[in-house]
Amino acid sequence: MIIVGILLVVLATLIGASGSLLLKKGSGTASFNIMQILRNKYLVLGLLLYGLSIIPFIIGLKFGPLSMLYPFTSLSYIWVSLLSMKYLNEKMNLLKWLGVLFILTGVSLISGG
Amino acid sequence: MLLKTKISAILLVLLCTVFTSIGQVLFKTGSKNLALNLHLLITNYPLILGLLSYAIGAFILIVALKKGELSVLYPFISMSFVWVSFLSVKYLSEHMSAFKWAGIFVIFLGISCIGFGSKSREEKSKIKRRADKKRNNKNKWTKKN
Repeated sequence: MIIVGILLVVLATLIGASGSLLLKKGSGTASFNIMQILRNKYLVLGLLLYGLSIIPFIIGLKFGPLSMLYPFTSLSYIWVSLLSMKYLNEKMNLLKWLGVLFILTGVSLISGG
Repeated sequence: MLLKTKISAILLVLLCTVFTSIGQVLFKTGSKNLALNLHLLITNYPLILGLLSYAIGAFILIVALKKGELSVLYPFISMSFVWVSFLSVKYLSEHMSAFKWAGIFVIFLGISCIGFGSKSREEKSKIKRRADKKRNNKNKWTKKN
């Protein structure tokens, strides 16, 4: 049943990554003003997705141990890189991908060890 | 030359991770007295402070994202794993293991790669622009004569 847990955690990372893309999209006009943030569609939706991503994660944790499932949360670093390329016209290069790979390894070591 | 991702934006993301890490430790502390009881929930101060800390972190993140590329800033969020490891040792009497130290080291390596990766591109374009300018000047000069 661990596979169900993994799939739910992966779903959570996809929702969270989309949330951070929306936060970036909405951040252009943002300032240190709560009311202004609440009027910004992108930011409200981004924060909502950010918060909602916790739900499949918590349900996923019922299907396996935290140390097995937590490393999968670092997949969000891959999704965010891909989304930044596609929707924000940002460029990835070998060094940046290498950095993402190291972070994935590091998170797995910390949570698995 | 303006960098696409400002250093101040990276520092803000790091500040955001400090708040979310403190929030996570507070959640852990608050989860001991967690129950579906309104009175217990609103008097669960660690939980409330944790939520507040998380909200402050999200707020700082939004402001940080404004001044940089998402693909550069987002990976810096992984620093929260480092802070949480240290905070759990200090406040939750958890233990550090060789695996955790190795993980912290590899995460440092990773965000350094991201930092240098975003910089090297900037530097390259800077050098290219400088070369183009030189060539244009040269062309102007040869045309004049």
